[in-house]
Amino acid sequence: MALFSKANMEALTGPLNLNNPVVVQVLGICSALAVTAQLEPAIVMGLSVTIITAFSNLIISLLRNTIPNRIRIIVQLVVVAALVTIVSQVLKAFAYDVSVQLSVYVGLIITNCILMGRLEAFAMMNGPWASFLDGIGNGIGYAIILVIVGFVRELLGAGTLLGIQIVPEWCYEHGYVNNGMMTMPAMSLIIVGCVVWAHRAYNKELQ
Amino acid sequence: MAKINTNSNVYTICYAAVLVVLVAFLLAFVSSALKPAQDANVAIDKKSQILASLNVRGLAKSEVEAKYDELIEETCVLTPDGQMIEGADAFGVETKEIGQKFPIYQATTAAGDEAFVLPLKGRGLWGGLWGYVAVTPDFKQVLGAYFDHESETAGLGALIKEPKFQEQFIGRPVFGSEELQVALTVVKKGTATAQTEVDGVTGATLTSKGVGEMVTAGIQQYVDAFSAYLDGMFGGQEPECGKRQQGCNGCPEADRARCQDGQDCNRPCCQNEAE
Repeated sequence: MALFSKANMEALTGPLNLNNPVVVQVLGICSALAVTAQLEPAIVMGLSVTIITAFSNLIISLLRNTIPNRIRIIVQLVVVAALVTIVSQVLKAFAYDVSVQLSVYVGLIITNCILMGRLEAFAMMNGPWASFLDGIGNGIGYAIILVIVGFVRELLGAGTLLGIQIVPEWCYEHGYVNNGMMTMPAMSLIIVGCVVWAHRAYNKELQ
Repeated sequence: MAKINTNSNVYTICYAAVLVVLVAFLLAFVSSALKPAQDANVAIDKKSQILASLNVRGLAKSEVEAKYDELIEETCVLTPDGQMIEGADAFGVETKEIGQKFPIYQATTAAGDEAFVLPLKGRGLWGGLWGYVAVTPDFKQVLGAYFDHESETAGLGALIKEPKFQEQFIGRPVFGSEELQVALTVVKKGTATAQTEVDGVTGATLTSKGVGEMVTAGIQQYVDAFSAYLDGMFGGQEPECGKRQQGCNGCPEADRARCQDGQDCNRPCCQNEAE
Protein backbone atom coordinates (compact mmCIF):
# COMPACT_ATOMS: atom_id res chain seq x y z
CA MET A 1 0.00 0.00 0.00
CA ALA A 2 1.40 3.36 -0.99
CA LEU A 3 2.22 5.72 1.83
CA PHE A 4 0.21 8.49 0.22
CA SER A 5 -2.60 6.48 -1.29
CA LYS A 6 -5.93 8.15 -1.99
CA ALA A 7 -7.44 6.94 1.30
CA ASN A 8 -4.45 8.22 3.29
CA MET A 9 -4.52 11.59 1.57
CA GLU A 10 -8.21 11.81 2.35
CA ALA A 11 -7.43 11.20 6.04
CA LEU A 12 -4.91 14.03 5.91
CA THR A 13 -6.74 16.68 3.88
CA GLY A 14 -10.39 15.94 4.65
CA PRO A 15 -10.30 17.57 8.09
CA LEU A 16 -8.91 20.77 6.61
CA ASN A 17 -12.16 21.53 4.86
CA LEU A 18 -15.17 19.22 4.38
CA ASN A 19 -14.59 17.23 7.56
CA ASN A 20 -13.17 20.04 9.72
CA PRO A 21 -13.13 19.01 13.39
CA VAL A 22 -14.44 22.32 14.70
CA VAL A 23 -16.95 23.58 12.14
CA VAL A 24 -18.22 20.24 10.82
CA GLN A 25 -17.59 17.61 13.52
CA VAL A 26 -18.18 20.27 16.21
CA LEU A 27 -15.34 19.04 18.44
CA GLY A 28 -12.97 21.13 20.54
CA ILE A 29 -15.28 24.10 20.87
CA CYS A 30 -14.46 24.63 24.55
CA SER A 31 -10.76 25.16 23.95
CA ALA A 32 -11.52 27.39 20.97
CA LEU A 33 -13.11 29.63 23.56
CA ALA A 34 -10.30 29.51 26.08
CA VAL A 35 -7.18 30.28 24.08
CA THR A 36 -8.26 32.55 21.25
CA ALA A 37 -8.25 35.98 22.88
CA GLN A 38 -4.89 36.45 21.18
CA LEU A 39 -3.27 34.99 18.10
CA GLU A 40 -0.14 33.60 19.72
CA PRO A 41 -1.76 31.20 22.23
CA ALA A 42 -4.11 30.09 19.44
CA ILE A 43 -1.14 29.10 17.26
CA VAL A 44 0.67 27.38 20.14
CA MET A 45 -2.45 25.44 21.11
CA GLY A 46 -3.10 24.47 17.48
CA LEU A 47 0.42 23.11 17.08
CA SER A 48 0.38 21.22 20.37
CA VAL A 49 -2.95 19.59 19.61
CA THR A 50 -1.70 18.60 16.15
CA ILE A 51 1.34 16.84 17.57
CA ILE A 52 -0.47 15.16 20.43
CA THR A 53 -3.40 14.02 18.27
CA ALA A 54 -1.03 12.52 15.72
CA PHE A 55 0.98 10.55 18.25
CA SER A 56 -1.91 9.40 20.42
CA ASN A 57 -3.71 8.30 17.23
CA LEU A 58 -0.59 6.35 16.29
CA ILE A 59 -0.28 4.63 19.68
CA ILE A 60 -3.95 3.75 19.96
CA SER A 61 -3.96 2.46 16.41
CA LEU A 62 -1.05 0.14 17.24
CA LEU A 63 -2.89 -1.10 20.34
CA ARG A 64 -6.32 -1.19 18.74
CA ASN A 65 -6.60 -4.97 18.40
CA THR A 66 -5.66 -5.61 22.03
CA ILE A 67 -7.86 -3.03 23.72
CA PRO A 68 -10.85 -4.56 25.53
CA ASN A 69 -14.00 -2.98 24.15
CA ARG A 70 -15.59 -2.14 27.48
CA ILE A 71 -12.71 -0.05 28.84
CA ARG A 72 -11.52 1.43 25.56
CA ILE A 73 -12.31 5.04 26.52
CA ILE A 74 -10.36 4.71 29.77
CA VAL A 75 -7.42 3.17 27.91
CA GLN A 76 -7.50 6.04 25.41
CA LEU A 77 -7.57 8.58 28.20
CA VAL A 78 -4.67 6.93 30.05
CA VAL A 79 -2.56 6.88 26.88
CA VAL A 80 -3.29 10.52 26.08
CA ALA A 81 -2.70 11.70 29.64
CA ALA A 82 0.55 9.75 29.94
CA LEU A 83 1.77 11.04 26.59
CA VAL A 84 1.01 14.67 27.40
CA THR A 85 2.56 14.39 30.86
CA ILE A 86 5.75 12.80 29.56
CA VAL A 87 6.10 15.39 26.80
CA SER A 88 5.63 18.21 29.29
CA GLN A 89 8.19 16.66 31.68
CA VAL A 90 10.76 16.29 28.91
CA LEU A 91 10.16 19.86 27.79
CA LYS A 92 10.55 21.07 31.36
CA ALA A 93 13.96 19.44 31.56
CA PHE A 94 15.32 20.35 28.13
CA ALA A 95 13.30 23.30 26.82
CA TYR A 96 12.16 25.11 29.91
CA ASP A 97 10.87 28.25 28.18
CA VAL A 98 8.63 26.23 25.87
CA SER A 99 7.32 24.24 28.81
CA VAL A 100 6.42 27.39 30.73
CA GLN A 101 4.59 28.65 27.65
CA LEU A 102 2.68 25.38 27.34
CA SER A 103 1.97 24.70 31.01
CA VAL A 104 -1.39 26.44 30.76
CA TYR A 105 -2.42 24.24 27.85
CA VAL A 106 -1.56 20.83 29.27
CA GLY A 107 -4.94 20.39 30.96
CA LEU A 108 -6.75 21.73 27.93
CA ILE A 109 -4.96 19.33 25.60
CA ILE A 110 -5.67 16.22 27.69
CA THR A 111 -9.38 17.00 27.87
CA ASN A 112 -9.69 18.16 24.26
CA CYS A 113 -12.61 16.38 22.62
CA ILE A 114 -10.80 16.27 19.28
CA LEU A 115 -8.33 13.78 20.70
CA MET A 116 -10.98 11.47 22.11
CA GLY A 117 -13.19 11.97 19.08
CA ARG A 118 -10.48 10.98 16.60
CA LEU A 119 -9.22 8.08 18.72
CA GLU A 120 -12.73 6.69 18.96
CA ALA A 121 -13.83 7.42 15.39
CA PHE A 122 -10.64 6.74 13.46
CA ALA A 123 -7.69 5.23 15.29
CA MET A 124 -9.71 2.33 16.75
CA MET A 125 -10.42 0.99 13.26
CA ASN A 126 -7.57 2.13 11.00
CA GLY A 127 -3.90 1.36 10.61
CA PRO A 128 -1.12 3.33 12.32
CA TRP A 129 0.06 5.38 9.33
CA ALA A 130 -3.45 6.41 8.27
CA SER A 131 -4.25 7.25 11.90
CA PHE A 132 -1.12 9.35 12.19
CA LEU A 133 -2.09 11.34 9.07
CA ASP A 134 -5.63 11.68 10.37
CA GLY A 135 -4.23 13.16 13.60
CA ILE A 136 -2.08 15.65 11.70
CA GLY A 137 -4.98 16.61 9.45
CA ASN A 138 -7.44 17.12 12.30
CA GLY A 139 -4.90 19.04 14.34
CA ILE A 140 -4.22 21.42 11.48
CA GLY A 141 -7.93 21.74 10.72
CA TYR A 142 -8.45 22.71 14.35
CA ALA A 143 -5.49 25.10 14.28
CA ILE A 144 -6.88 26.90 11.21
CA ILE A 145 -10.14 27.71 12.97
CA LEU A 146 -8.32 28.77 16.14
CA VAL A 147 -6.07 31.09 14.15
CA ILE A 148 -9.05 32.68 12.36
CA VAL A 149 -10.86 33.27 15.65
CA GLY A 150 -7.69 34.46 17.40
CA PHE A 151 -6.90 36.83 14.51
CA VAL A 152 -10.34 38.49 14.63
CA ARG A 153 -10.48 38.67 18.42
CA GLU A 154 -7.01 40.10 18.92
CA LEU A 155 -7.31 42.59 16.06
CA LEU A 156 -10.70 43.96 17.10
CA GLY A 157 -10.32 43.42 20.83
CA ALA A 158 -6.85 44.80 21.44
CA GLY A 159 -5.82 46.38 18.11
CA THR A 160 -2.75 44.16 17.99
CA LEU A 161 -1.59 40.98 16.25
CA LEU A 162 0.92 38.68 17.98
CA GLY A 163 1.32 41.53 20.46
CA ILE A 164 2.37 44.06 17.80
CA GLN A 165 0.23 47.19 17.52
CA ILE A 166 -1.68 47.11 14.20
CA VAL A 167 -4.35 49.77 14.58
CA PRO A 168 -2.44 53.06 14.26
CA GLU A 169 -2.44 55.64 17.03
CA TRP A 170 -4.32 58.26 14.99
CA CYS A 171 -7.38 55.98 14.80
CA TYR A 172 -7.61 56.11 18.59
CA GLU A 173 -7.11 59.88 18.51
CA HIS A 174 -10.07 60.14 16.14
CA GLY A 175 -12.38 58.24 18.45
CA TYR A 176 -11.80 54.57 17.54
CA VAL A 177 -12.03 52.29 20.56
CA ASN A 178 -11.11 48.63 20.92
CA ASN A 179 -14.13 46.36 21.13
CA GLY A 180 -13.93 45.02 24.68
CA MET A 181 -16.62 42.44 23.80
CA MET A 182 -14.03 40.64 21.66
CA THR A 183 -11.92 39.82 24.68
CA MET A 184 -14.87 38.03 26.27
CA PRO A 185 -15.05 34.24 25.74
CA ALA A 186 -18.61 34.41 24.40
CA MET A 187 -17.47 36.28 21.29
CA SER A 188 -15.37 33.35 20.15
CA LEU A 189 -18.54 31.25 19.86
CA ILE A 190 -20.15 33.95 17.74
CA ILE A 191 -17.07 34.10 15.51
CA VAL A 192 -17.01 30.30 15.22
CA GLY A 193 -20.70 30.59 14.27
CA CYS A 194 -19.83 33.07 11.53
CA VAL A 195 -17.08 30.74 10.26
CA VAL A 196 -19.57 27.83 10.17
CA TRP A 197 -22.03 30.06 8.27
CA ALA A 198 -19.46 31.06 5.65
CA HIS A 199 -18.20 27.50 5.37
CA ARG A 200 -21.68 26.05 4.81
CA ALA A 201 -22.66 28.78 2.37
CA TYR A 202 -19.60 27.91 0.31
CA ASN A 203 -19.89 24.12 0.61
CA LYS A 204 -23.54 23.57 -0.35
CA GLU A 205 -23.28 19.77 0.05
CA LEU A 206 -22.92 20.15 3.83
CA GLN A 207 -26.32 21.77 4.21
CA MET B 1 -2.43 -18.92 17.30
CA ALA B 2 -5.65 -19.01 19.21
CA LYS B 3 -7.44 -15.70 19.10
CA ILE B 4 -7.77 -14.18 22.55
CA ASN B 5 -11.23 -13.09 23.56
CA THR B 6 -10.64 -9.39 24.27
CA ASN B 7 -14.08 -9.02 25.79
CA SER B 8 -13.70 -11.50 28.63
CA ASN B 9 -13.66 -10.20 32.18
CA VAL B 10 -10.30 -11.73 33.00
CA TYR B 11 -8.66 -10.18 29.96
CA THR B 12 -10.20 -6.78 30.67
CA ILE B 13 -9.03 -6.75 34.29
CA CYS B 14 -5.53 -7.99 33.42
CA TYR B 15 -5.24 -5.47 30.61
CA ALA B 16 -6.28 -2.60 32.86
CA ALA B 17 -3.90 -3.71 35.62
CA VAL B 18 -0.92 -4.13 33.32
CA LEU B 19 -1.59 -0.84 31.55
CA VAL B 20 -1.88 1.13 34.77
CA VAL B 21 1.27 -0.40 36.29
CA LEU B 22 3.22 0.19 33.08
CA VAL B 23 2.12 3.79 32.78
CA ALA B 24 2.79 4.41 36.47
CA PHE B 25 6.33 3.05 36.15
CA LEU B 26 6.93 5.02 33.00
CA LEU B 27 5.77 8.29 34.58
CA ALA B 28 7.72 7.66 37.78
CA PHE B 29 10.85 6.83 35.79
CA VAL B 30 10.57 9.90 33.56
CA SER B 31 9.85 12.13 36.52
CA SER B 32 12.78 10.95 38.64
CA ALA B 33 15.22 10.76 35.73
CA LEU B 34 14.50 14.32 34.68
CA LYS B 35 14.23 15.84 38.16
CA PRO B 36 17.79 17.24 38.45
CA ALA B 37 17.61 18.93 35.05
CA GLN B 38 14.19 20.34 35.89
CA ASP B 39 15.28 21.64 39.28
CA ALA B 40 18.24 23.42 37.70
CA ASN B 41 15.89 25.05 35.20
CA VAL B 42 13.49 26.07 37.94
CA ALA B 43 16.30 27.69 39.95
CA ILE B 44 17.54 29.64 36.94
CA ASP B 45 13.99 30.69 36.16
CA LYS B 46 13.48 31.93 39.71
CA LYS B 47 16.69 33.93 39.50
CA SER B 48 15.65 35.48 36.21
CA GLN B 49 12.29 36.42 37.75
CA ILE B 50 14.05 38.17 40.63
CA LEU B 51 16.29 39.94 38.12
CA ALA B 52 13.20 41.03 36.15
CA SER B 53 11.92 42.83 39.27
CA LEU B 54 15.24 44.71 39.25
CA ASN B 55 14.49 45.70 35.63
CA VAL B 56 17.02 43.29 34.18
CA ARG B 57 15.04 41.46 31.52
CA GLY B 58 15.65 39.25 28.51
CA LEU B 59 18.91 37.66 29.66
CA ALA B 60 20.04 34.44 28.03
CA LYS B 61 19.87 31.40 30.31
CA SER B 62 23.67 31.25 30.59
CA GLU B 63 24.00 34.87 31.74
CA VAL B 64 21.44 34.67 34.53
CA GLU B 65 23.67 33.13 37.21
CA ALA B 66 26.46 35.67 36.81
CA LYS B 67 24.11 38.64 36.73
CA TYR B 68 22.26 37.34 39.79
CA ASP B 69 25.49 37.00 41.76
CA GLU B 70 26.47 40.50 40.67
CA LEU B 71 23.25 42.27 41.64
CA ILE B 72 22.06 40.36 44.72
CA GLU B 73 24.27 41.33 47.63
CA GLU B 74 22.74 39.59 50.60
CA THR B 75 19.58 37.81 51.54
CA CYS B 76 17.82 37.16 54.79
CA VAL B 77 14.62 35.59 56.05
CA LEU B 78 12.40 37.27 58.66
CA THR B 79 9.69 35.81 60.84
CA PRO B 80 6.34 37.69 60.90
CA ASP B 81 7.41 39.56 64.06
CA GLY B 82 10.60 40.80 62.46
CA GLN B 83 13.17 38.35 63.86
CA MET B 84 15.89 37.27 61.51
CA ILE B 85 16.14 33.51 61.08
CA GLU B 86 19.79 32.61 61.55
CA GLY B 87 21.49 30.97 58.63
CA ALA B 88 18.36 30.85 56.48
CA ASP B 89 18.74 31.42 52.76
CA ALA B 90 16.01 33.52 51.17
CA PHE B 91 16.42 31.70 47.86
CA GLY B 92 15.49 28.41 49.54
CA VAL B 93 12.16 29.74 50.77
CA GLU B 94 9.41 28.39 48.54
CA THR B 95 6.54 30.54 47.35
CA LYS B 96 4.04 28.60 49.43
CA GLU B 97 5.95 29.41 52.63
CA ILE B 98 5.61 33.17 52.17
CA GLY B 99 3.34 34.44 54.92
CA GLN B 100 5.11 32.43 57.59
CA LYS B 101 8.55 33.45 56.42
CA PHE B 102 9.54 36.69 54.78
CA PRO B 103 12.55 36.33 52.50
CA ILE B 104 14.22 39.56 51.49
CA TYR B 105 16.91 40.10 48.89
CA GLN B 106 19.14 43.10 49.22
CA ALA B 107 20.12 44.08 45.71
CA THR B 108 21.00 46.73 43.19
CA THR B 109 18.65 47.56 40.33
CA ALA B 110 19.73 47.79 36.69
CA ALA B 111 19.95 51.55 37.20
CA GLY B 112 22.26 51.12 40.20
CA ASP B 113 19.78 51.98 42.97
CA GLU B 114 19.81 50.08 46.23
CA ALA B 115 16.69 47.97 46.58
CA PHE B 116 14.97 45.32 48.67
CA VAL B 117 13.28 42.62 46.63
CA LEU B 118 10.17 41.27 48.32
CA PRO B 119 8.70 37.97 47.08
CA LEU B 120 4.90 37.95 47.22
CA LYS B 121 2.19 35.36 46.76
CA GLY B 122 -1.51 35.67 46.06
CA ARG B 123 -4.47 34.18 44.25
CA GLY B 124 -5.77 34.98 40.78
CA LEU B 125 -8.91 33.77 39.05
CA TRP B 126 -7.89 30.18 38.33
CA GLY B 127 -4.84 29.57 40.48
CA GLY B 128 -1.92 30.96 42.38
CA LEU B 129 -0.08 34.16 41.61
CA TRP B 130 3.37 35.18 42.73
CA GLY B 131 5.64 38.09 42.18
CA TYR B 132 8.74 40.00 43.18
CA VAL B 133 8.54 43.70 43.97
CA ALA B 134 11.70 45.76 44.34
CA VAL B 135 11.32 48.72 46.69
CA THR B 136 13.68 51.37 47.96
CA PRO B 137 15.22 50.50 51.37
CA ASP B 138 12.77 52.88 53.07
CA PHE B 139 9.88 51.02 51.39
CA LYS B 140 8.50 54.30 50.07
CA GLN B 141 8.84 53.71 46.34
CA VAL B 142 8.61 50.81 43.92
CA LEU B 143 11.69 50.35 41.74
CA GLY B 144 10.45 47.41 39.70
CA ALA B 145 8.05 44.50 39.71
CA TYR B 146 7.60 41.03 38.26
CA PHE B 147 4.42 38.97 38.40
CA ASP B 148 3.67 35.45 37.26
CA HIS B 149 0.78 33.03 37.46
CA GLU B 150 -0.01 29.34 37.48
CA SER B 151 -2.99 29.17 35.16
CA GLU B 152 -4.58 32.50 34.31
CA THR B 153 -6.43 32.78 30.99
CA ALA B 154 -4.05 33.08 28.04
CA GLY B 155 -4.35 36.47 26.39
CA LEU B 156 -6.25 38.03 29.30
CA GLY B 157 -5.15 37.35 32.87
CA ALA B 158 -1.85 35.97 31.59
CA LEU B 159 -0.95 39.50 30.47
CA ILE B 160 0.16 40.28 34.04
CA LYS B 161 3.34 38.44 33.06
CA GLU B 162 4.09 40.97 30.31
CA PRO B 163 6.65 43.73 30.94
CA LYS B 164 4.04 46.23 29.68
CA PHE B 165 1.88 45.58 32.73
CA GLN B 166 4.75 45.24 35.20
CA GLU B 167 6.59 48.37 34.12
CA GLN B 168 3.61 50.46 35.16
CA PHE B 169 4.72 49.86 38.76
CA ILE B 170 8.12 51.50 38.38
CA GLY B 171 8.37 54.71 40.41
CA ARG B 172 5.02 54.34 42.14
CA PRO B 173 4.75 55.36 45.81
CA VAL B 174 3.99 52.45 48.16
CA PHE B 175 2.22 54.35 50.92
CA GLY B 176 -0.81 56.60 50.63
CA SER B 177 -1.68 59.43 52.96
CA GLU B 178 -1.31 57.24 56.05
CA GLU B 179 2.18 56.42 57.16
CA LEU B 180 3.17 52.77 56.88
CA GLN B 181 -0.20 51.79 55.38
CA VAL B 182 0.40 50.28 51.95
CA ALA B 183 -1.92 51.90 49.42
CA LEU B 184 -0.32 50.55 46.25
CA THR B 185 -2.92 48.49 44.39
CA VAL B 186 -4.38 47.66 40.97
CA VAL B 187 -7.67 49.16 39.78
CA LYS B 188 -9.88 48.81 36.70
CA LYS B 189 -8.16 50.34 33.69
CA GLY B 190 -8.88 54.04 33.36
CA THR B 191 -10.26 54.55 36.88
CA ALA B 192 -6.98 55.30 38.64
CA THR B 193 -7.24 58.46 40.72
CA ALA B 194 -3.97 58.37 42.66
CA GLN B 195 -0.33 57.54 41.99
CA THR B 196 -0.73 54.41 44.12
CA GLU B 197 -3.39 53.01 41.78
CA VAL B 198 -2.07 51.03 38.82
CA ASP B 199 -4.15 50.21 35.73
CA GLY B 200 -5.35 46.61 35.58
CA VAL B 201 -5.71 44.38 32.51
CA THR B 202 -8.87 44.88 30.44
CA GLY B 203 -11.04 41.76 30.44
CA ALA B 204 -9.19 40.25 33.39
CA THR B 205 -10.83 42.01 36.31
CA LEU B 206 -10.43 39.17 38.79
CA THR B 207 -6.80 38.50 37.94
CA SER B 208 -6.03 42.21 38.22
CA LYS B 209 -7.80 42.31 41.54
CA GLY B 210 -5.75 39.32 42.69
CA VAL B 211 -2.53 41.14 41.80
CA GLY B 212 -3.76 44.25 43.61
CA GLU B 213 -4.58 42.32 46.77
CA MET B 214 -1.30 40.43 46.62
CA VAL B 215 0.67 43.66 46.34
CA THR B 216 -1.24 45.55 49.02
CA ALA B 217 -1.48 42.77 51.59
CA GLY B 218 1.90 41.25 50.75
CA ILE B 219 3.94 44.42 51.09
CA GLN B 220 1.95 45.33 54.20
CA GLN B 221 3.12 42.09 55.84
CA TYR B 222 6.72 43.02 55.14
CA VAL B 223 6.12 46.53 56.44
CA ASP B 224 4.66 45.07 59.64
CA ALA B 225 7.58 42.71 60.05
CA PHE B 226 9.90 45.64 59.47
CA SER B 227 7.96 48.18 61.48
CA ALA B 228 10.47 48.66 64.28
CA TYR B 229 13.10 49.51 61.75
CA LEU B 230 10.81 51.62 59.58
CA ASP B 231 9.60 53.66 62.56
CA GLY B 232 13.18 54.61 63.07
CA MET B 233 13.44 55.54 59.42
CA PHE B 234 10.50 57.82 59.52
CA GLY B 235 12.12 59.55 62.45
CA GLY B 236 14.62 60.82 59.89
CA GLN B 237 17.33 58.19 60.21
CA GLU B 238 19.96 57.29 57.68
CA PRO B 239 18.78 54.59 55.30
CA GLU B 240 22.30 53.30 54.79
CA CYS B 241 23.09 49.78 55.80
CA GLY B 242 24.86 49.58 59.15
CA LYS B 243 23.58 52.94 60.32
CA ARG B 244 19.97 52.07 60.43
CA GLN B 245 19.13 53.11 63.92
CA GLN B 246 20.45 55.10 66.77
CA GLY B 247 20.52 53.45 70.12
CA CYS B 248 18.78 50.19 70.63
CA ASN B 249 15.17 51.32 70.49
CA GLY B 250 14.78 50.15 66.91
CA CYS B 251 15.97 46.67 67.80
CA PRO B 252 13.46 43.86 67.97
CA GLU B 253 12.70 43.18 71.60
CA ALA B 254 14.60 39.91 71.75
CA ASP B 255 17.71 41.67 70.52
CA ARG B 256 17.39 44.72 72.70
CA ALA B 257 19.12 43.34 75.77
CA ARG B 258 21.95 42.05 73.64
CA CYS B 259 22.24 45.44 71.98
CA GLN B 260 22.34 47.23 75.32
CA ASP B 261 25.17 44.93 76.35
CA GLY B 262 27.10 46.59 73.58
CA GLN B 263 26.80 43.76 71.08
CA ASP B 264 25.54 43.95 67.54
CA CYS B 265 21.84 44.17 67.13
CA ASN B 266 20.72 42.10 64.20
CA ARG B 267 18.84 44.16 61.69
CA PRO B 268 17.46 42.80 58.48
CA CYS B 269 20.22 41.86 56.13
CA CYS B 270 23.00 43.66 57.93
CA GLN B 271 24.69 43.92 61.27
CA ASN B 272 24.09 47.13 63.07
CA GLU B 273 26.74 49.03 64.85
CA ALA B 274 25.56 49.37 68.41
CA GLU B 275 26.39 52.54 70.24
